[in-house]
Amino acid sequence: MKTVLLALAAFVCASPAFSAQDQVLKAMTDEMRRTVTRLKMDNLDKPYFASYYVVDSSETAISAVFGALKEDSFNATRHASAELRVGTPAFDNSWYAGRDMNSFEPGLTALNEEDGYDAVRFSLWSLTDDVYKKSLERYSQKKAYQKKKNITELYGDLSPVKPGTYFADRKAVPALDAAAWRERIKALSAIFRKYPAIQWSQVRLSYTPRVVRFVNSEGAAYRYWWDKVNLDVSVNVQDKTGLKLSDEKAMAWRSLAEVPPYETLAAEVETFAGQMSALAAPAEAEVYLGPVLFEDQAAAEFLNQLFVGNVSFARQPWAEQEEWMKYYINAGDLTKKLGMRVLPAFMDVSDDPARDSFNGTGLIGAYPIDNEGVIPAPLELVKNGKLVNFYMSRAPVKEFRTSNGHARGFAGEFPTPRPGSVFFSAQPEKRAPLDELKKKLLAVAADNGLDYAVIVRRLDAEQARKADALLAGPVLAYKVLVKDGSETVLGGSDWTGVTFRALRDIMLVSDKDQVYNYFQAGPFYFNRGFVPASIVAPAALLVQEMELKPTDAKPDRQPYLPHPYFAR
Amino acid sequence: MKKLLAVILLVVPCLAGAQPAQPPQTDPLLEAMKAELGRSMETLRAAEASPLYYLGYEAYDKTSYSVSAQAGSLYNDDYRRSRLLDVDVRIGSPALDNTHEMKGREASNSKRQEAAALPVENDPAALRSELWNLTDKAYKAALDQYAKVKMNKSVTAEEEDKSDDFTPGAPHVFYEKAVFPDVNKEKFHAMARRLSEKFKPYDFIYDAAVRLSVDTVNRYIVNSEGSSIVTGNTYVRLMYSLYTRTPDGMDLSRVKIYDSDGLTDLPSETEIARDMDATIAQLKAQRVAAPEQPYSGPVLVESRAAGVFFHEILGHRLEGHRQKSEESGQTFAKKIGQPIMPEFLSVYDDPSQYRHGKQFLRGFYRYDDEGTPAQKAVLVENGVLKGFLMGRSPIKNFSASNGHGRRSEGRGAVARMGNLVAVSSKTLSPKDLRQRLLEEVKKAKKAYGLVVSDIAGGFTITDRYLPQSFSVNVTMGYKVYADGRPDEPVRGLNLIGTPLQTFSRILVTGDEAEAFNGTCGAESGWVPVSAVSPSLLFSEMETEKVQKSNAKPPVLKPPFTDKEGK
Repeated sequence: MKTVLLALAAFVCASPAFSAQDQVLKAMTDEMRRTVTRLKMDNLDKPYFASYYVVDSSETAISAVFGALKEDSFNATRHASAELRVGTPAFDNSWYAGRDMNSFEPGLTALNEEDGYDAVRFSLWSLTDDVYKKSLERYSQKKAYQKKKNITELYGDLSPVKPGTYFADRKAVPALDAAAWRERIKALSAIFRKYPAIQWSQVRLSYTPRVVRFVNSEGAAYRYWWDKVNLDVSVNVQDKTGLKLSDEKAMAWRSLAEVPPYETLAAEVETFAGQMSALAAPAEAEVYLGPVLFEDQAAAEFLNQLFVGNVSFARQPWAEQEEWMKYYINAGDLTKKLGMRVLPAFMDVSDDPARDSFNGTGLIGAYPIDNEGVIPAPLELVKNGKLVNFYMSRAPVKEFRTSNGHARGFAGEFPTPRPGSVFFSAQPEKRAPLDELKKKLLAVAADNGLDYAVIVRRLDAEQARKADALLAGPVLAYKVLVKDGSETVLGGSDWTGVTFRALRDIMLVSDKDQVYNYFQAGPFYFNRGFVPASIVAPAALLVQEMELKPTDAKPDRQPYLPHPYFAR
Repeated sequence: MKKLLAVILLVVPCLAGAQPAQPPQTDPLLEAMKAELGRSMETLRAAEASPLYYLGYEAYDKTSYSVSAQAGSLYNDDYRRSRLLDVDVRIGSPALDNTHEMKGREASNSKRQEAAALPVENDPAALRSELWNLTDKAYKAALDQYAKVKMNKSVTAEEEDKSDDFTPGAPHVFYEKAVFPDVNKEKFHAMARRLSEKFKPYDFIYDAAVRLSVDTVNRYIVNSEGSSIVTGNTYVRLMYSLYTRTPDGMDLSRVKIYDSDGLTDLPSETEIARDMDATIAQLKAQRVAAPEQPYSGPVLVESRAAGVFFHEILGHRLEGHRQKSEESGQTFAKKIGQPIMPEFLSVYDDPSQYRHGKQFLRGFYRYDDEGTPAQKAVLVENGVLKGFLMGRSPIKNFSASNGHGRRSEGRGAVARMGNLVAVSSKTLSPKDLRQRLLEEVKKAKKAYGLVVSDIAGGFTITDRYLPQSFSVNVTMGYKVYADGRPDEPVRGLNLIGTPLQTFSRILVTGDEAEAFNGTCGAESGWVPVSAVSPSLLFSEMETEKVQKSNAKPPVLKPPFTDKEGK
């Protein structure tokens, strides 16, 4: 009883003074008040905790193929997710997936695009009622599950936290010059008219200003905005053996103002088109065991897929079919190695969501407050190669019971502990210019009696990873001859036997840092929400030993007719 | 998956601004399609041992606008342009090709096929590049399928109907584009907001919306037989919906739709508001009605509901391709020339009919998706079965298409309905019809008869491995008592039965026919349709209880009706 009264007191005080102008926030606040004071069904538990999370998105998408406009659309949406908890913070309805993994998600509904107090409250009311009833059922099922499995080691379900508030606004949303962008996107896509080896290509710009609002029954509340600006270049090629390869170069910025000039974008597209064209006539892939130099996107993805993704998602839900869990939910496997060496002793890692730029480049992973209303502080993850922390939301685990402000996720998925802006650093004596890294690569290969070494410049996306694999296959891998350092692109290859050992096997890193802005895929395979994240890390990593083999993918027949444009 | 295909759904179910014929040579999309079709046909015809004998492209050039409102503010406001391409590839010969039905263990006859987005801009190089990509994909898939078909045919039993897979078509040239109407967005925004406010005072309405949609679809069809067709339709729909839940856990909803081919034909806001008041009152009365118990006895199905009834129970069973499918129930396959319903009834399907009275018919089109001109198909004449709805898949004794080969993007076309029309020569006025119902009730020694005013669509099973039954959900209806008590609304029932028996029980019909406009879903996707029928009086029909959600009504009242919560 006391807890409830306190929560309410805090809630009333926290109602922001200016919410009167923000009809959406006011509707959220008022309906929240009604929920916590009056929502109770018969003789069943009333919710001890409730939260609403509302995201406004207005996306302008412009895409073009081969120089012509394909898509030119505007789409505004507003989504709300609601979470209600019954029971107590020590044990409630959360983190229980039951029999149906696919239903392990918060209540979600679409709200009116237009700010309308009545309409928003009406939808929230309807959603809340639905979520409350489900929460009651989940709670009783979870209690029964605990009894059946005789689970006695409990760490709690909702950690206490000082409710954070944060309110940011802006006078006007920067307008996209759609006419100019249409021409730019068409021109970028027309670059592919110079690359006959590419069977299909597309260039797509997506500009999505967003406003995020949150209130919970403990008094946390926020409203802030962020802009999602993406340029994706997609390409399909077919190599001479018939193997089909596709890749997407994704570029992301914090704002329209940060998008580089057309010439820079065109140069990026040209480079990508050139690299992908080379894949049409690659060197034959073969089994390789030796040193690998990861550069550019591949270096960042190596760290993302092996490290960042595995110090995320510490808490796992209970499920009736535990053995199926791995097919549904990504587990942060490195979180089981707290206090152990996970990287070479010369490397440190930290995360600081408050940092929004690095050497003048914007970091899209920055955020002022997490999805649960917790303001993050800088977080040390790895010290001298040892894992000292991992990301935490308010869901306690054995190792940590409190949040470090990293609960993130999109509407429609439960917030889970995830990165913001991750910084990898290395001691100066282990950093070297790229040409020295390449020399060292060839030297290690020679020591191993190899004729060539491998450089990987692009890795496939995390979500393209095979089940049970830690690292997605290389898209752009190069065979580098020991005798003269010459490079030839390698045909379809894949990793074998990658373990976390690969992280500890980093021998040497580049003396230059790169900023890698990307969207981290959420842990739930049935409902993947993506959050913007940034990695600031050495632009190249030399790894002592990796194993490659030719891909298992089967080739296809070449097209029956030549491309109509190049056939002229 | 198989079950999904077996169930044919009809959800509650246009030509305006058609432009006069333009010189087709000025249309770059059409030209790109022709050029790539010609090039592909020339090379692929004999590229492999199994010949390509037919190639067809259909591009859907769509412009859509929709606006919806809830509780006084806009829910959604959306405008978009898109172009999608379907490629039909036929390998083998008309006698046997890659579209042939697979039987036995390999029987998975999905009509799903690759479709791709095309640039909305008229750039020949970009258009042809996308056409080339999809053609290559579709051709390879068809070669693969043809090999499977040949083997499947060799290892499975001989078919009862040995008709060809495809019937040749004549070349048609036609050019008439529909123009997307000017939409006064501000006007419709304001109207949607105002109308959606009307639901707010009612604490039993748990969800409600008002929506306007305007869609113009221009279909570009070219094929290797020399056809070059551009034909367009505009569909305007204004609808409102409201939903409630009863204390015993039954979800009840009502939907009202106004269909048109132009914005000027929509009813006035006052008329819509008046209809809304009536619908709200109906839902309120229905909510407190006792849940219906299974019933068997006389039933009067009113006009629009009767249209849906014919669509579901008769129309789908007369789709030509089903008569030869080894998977199908073939209720009517061998009944040509035999009576299947009372002789006072005749049924035809005529997609070339543009209106019924003043009502625009959504099932109107000029050419089907196989490039055949739309034409009237006589199905039942004076109770006797005369024919089927035919696409270009011939069946025994019916080799020609009558322009009913239809699909939505990404599916292979099959025979579908357009405007299904039932006419009767034995009619009664509404008053006399009700009187006759009461007589039948008394004759059957029942306390009451059922009047069905609205049905929410329903489903009918035509696949052989399930019973050949139908079930349609009654969303509005009432009991008419023999002892003269006032009528009472009903809730929670489905009309059920089997087709042949049900038709034989039609006693008499009304003397007026209304049109029902809808969108019909089956294996070839979603297509706009209409159904027109007079009211039908059945001597006996059976009902069953509907499945309930069993969820309780909301704990709290809607916020704006909750005085305590203010």
